[in-house]
Amino acid sequence: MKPIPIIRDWLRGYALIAPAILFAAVFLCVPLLLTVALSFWTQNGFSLDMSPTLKNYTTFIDYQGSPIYLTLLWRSLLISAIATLGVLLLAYPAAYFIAFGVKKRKYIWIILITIPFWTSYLLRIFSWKIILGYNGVINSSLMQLHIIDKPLEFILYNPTAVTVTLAHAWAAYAILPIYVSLEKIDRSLLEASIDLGDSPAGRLWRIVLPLSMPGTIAAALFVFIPTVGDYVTPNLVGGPSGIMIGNIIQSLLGKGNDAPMAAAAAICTMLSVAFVATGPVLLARLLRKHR
Amino acid sequence: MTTKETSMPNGLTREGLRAGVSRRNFNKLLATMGVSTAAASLPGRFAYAAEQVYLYIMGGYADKALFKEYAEKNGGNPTVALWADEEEALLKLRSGLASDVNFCGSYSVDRWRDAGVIQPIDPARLTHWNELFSGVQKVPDMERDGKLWWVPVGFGTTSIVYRTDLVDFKEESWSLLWDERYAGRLAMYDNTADGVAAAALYASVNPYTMDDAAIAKVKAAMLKQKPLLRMYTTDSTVLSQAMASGEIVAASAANDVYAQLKAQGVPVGYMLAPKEGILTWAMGLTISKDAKRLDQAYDLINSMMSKDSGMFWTSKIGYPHANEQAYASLSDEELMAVGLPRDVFSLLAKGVFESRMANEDRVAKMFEEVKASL
Repeated sequence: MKPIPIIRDWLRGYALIAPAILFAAVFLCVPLLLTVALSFWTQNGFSLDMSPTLKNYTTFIDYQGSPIYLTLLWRSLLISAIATLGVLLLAYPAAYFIAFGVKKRKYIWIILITIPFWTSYLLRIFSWKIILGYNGVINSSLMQLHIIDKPLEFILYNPTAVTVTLAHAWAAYAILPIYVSLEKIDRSLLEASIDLGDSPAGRLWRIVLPLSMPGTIAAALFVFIPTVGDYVTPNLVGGPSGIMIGNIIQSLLGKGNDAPMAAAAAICTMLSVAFVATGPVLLARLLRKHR
Repeated sequence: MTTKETSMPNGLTREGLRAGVSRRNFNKLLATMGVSTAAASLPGRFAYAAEQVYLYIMGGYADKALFKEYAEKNGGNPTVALWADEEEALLKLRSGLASDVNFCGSYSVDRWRDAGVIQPIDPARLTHWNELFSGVQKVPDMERDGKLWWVPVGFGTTSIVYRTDLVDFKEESWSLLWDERYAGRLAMYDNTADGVAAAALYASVNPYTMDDAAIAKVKAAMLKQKPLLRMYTTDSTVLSQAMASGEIVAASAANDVYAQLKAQGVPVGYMLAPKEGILTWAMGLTISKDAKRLDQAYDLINSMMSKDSGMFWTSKIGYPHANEQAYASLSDEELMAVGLPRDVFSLLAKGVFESRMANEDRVAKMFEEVKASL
């Protein structure tokens, strides 16, 4: 019998993840490094001046005496945070219902949740335009009920419309991870708490909520991180007052013809999102240690 | 032992049979579904697509009616890609979009030439050149270094469209778009060529020679206007719908929006003589620097400049076409239906013609700043 060659564990591990690492290196690290490099250069008409400068970053903090980029970044973080909160408030009960309320054929419910995702994101935004529009669903119903006599103008083309649209569009991303973490909760813990006379609210607060925290935090990150940089939604429902940092980055790359400034803005956004997002991650780690 | 021996091969054969049958069935299935025939025709179809010229054009203009002459000669229609914004189009061309013929405004040609994305056009190969209005045969920026870089297809105006039943004003002026009585019910063009140019006219600044002081003046005007606006848009469908419902009562727009609304029976007016001046423009075609299908590119340009295309362009799209013969062969009723006068060319002559802006990068940046402001 030939001896089986012993491959060191660590080597086998690296061999297994090599394709993933290679992929990440080529399609994530290289572009990221290029973006970082770009952010220290200067646009000169159609060419790039490659002498390193911090000018783009100082512009980001102070643009001709006004912190326009910072304000927009702050607004984007705020819109995303509110949208994320909205998503969690909507998604948690739905996930709770599927995990605990549905006894048979859960997969049907899961499929039902994903149905809105079978249509394109753009179509979902456009349907919100129809709902919130000047002669849209909300306005025409309120007018028909004689609650208002002329259409409400404040419900479309502003930051609120962006928040509402984002909160709906990303709901399924939140329901699924929360559902998974609720599903994993050991039911005997709940039985024990009932036996020991805990109230339903106490049970939710003391057992279900803490044990589903990892899924909930994951859901919050799933929604928060991509929405900060979103530019399609504010473009379509945001109007003149609802634009976000993503729109600025996009316009700098396009009409503004200033790729280095766009790179600097993207990196500042990335850093601040990372900063905000690591908060919940650290919280989750702390909770895990306590268990 | 014996039972095992007989059952083993038996089982194997059955399994083998099952696999064989299913594979054969699969092939049959493929054949019945016509996949093999479809696969056989694929290379042919790719080759066919590669033969046709690649046109990069603004959304709303790519109608087959404009390709009739081309299709007769080349046995098919061009491959079409659409752009929504001229700067975005330039960006894509610079990053290597392999188009042969590109649509753009005459005010962009210089910039596109500087960016190195287009090549000169040989006037000798333009078969319909002599049928064009003499006035569009020579517009600013189309020629440089003694070479022709762009040929006209159509022209038009940008002014103020308004709901005659919902607004009133003393004299025709761009100031209607700064009128606080209509706060939240106004809209402005979302580009520099029409939007910033209109604001410059309002601020009594020449849009095409702006220095830093003038840019600051226009910026102040646009910042003053921003809180009054419902939207910045270049989408004439969105604008027409908003104006039809009364959500927007006045907007800067090209005459096609007026034509669309008029056709729907909406009470609208279009200012032909705002006191600060009406904006006029010409749109046309360029040939990509690395165009692979040069012969077809000329066929396409000729097709789009032809009289037939011109009649369609004018009567269906609603802008005057550059071909004078096309314009002459339309009846007064057909012109009236899209809101065009018989002596349309006097419009172009009277207006402020959109050409390349000085310091265009700074102007573009200023506009983006206005939109980003709070």
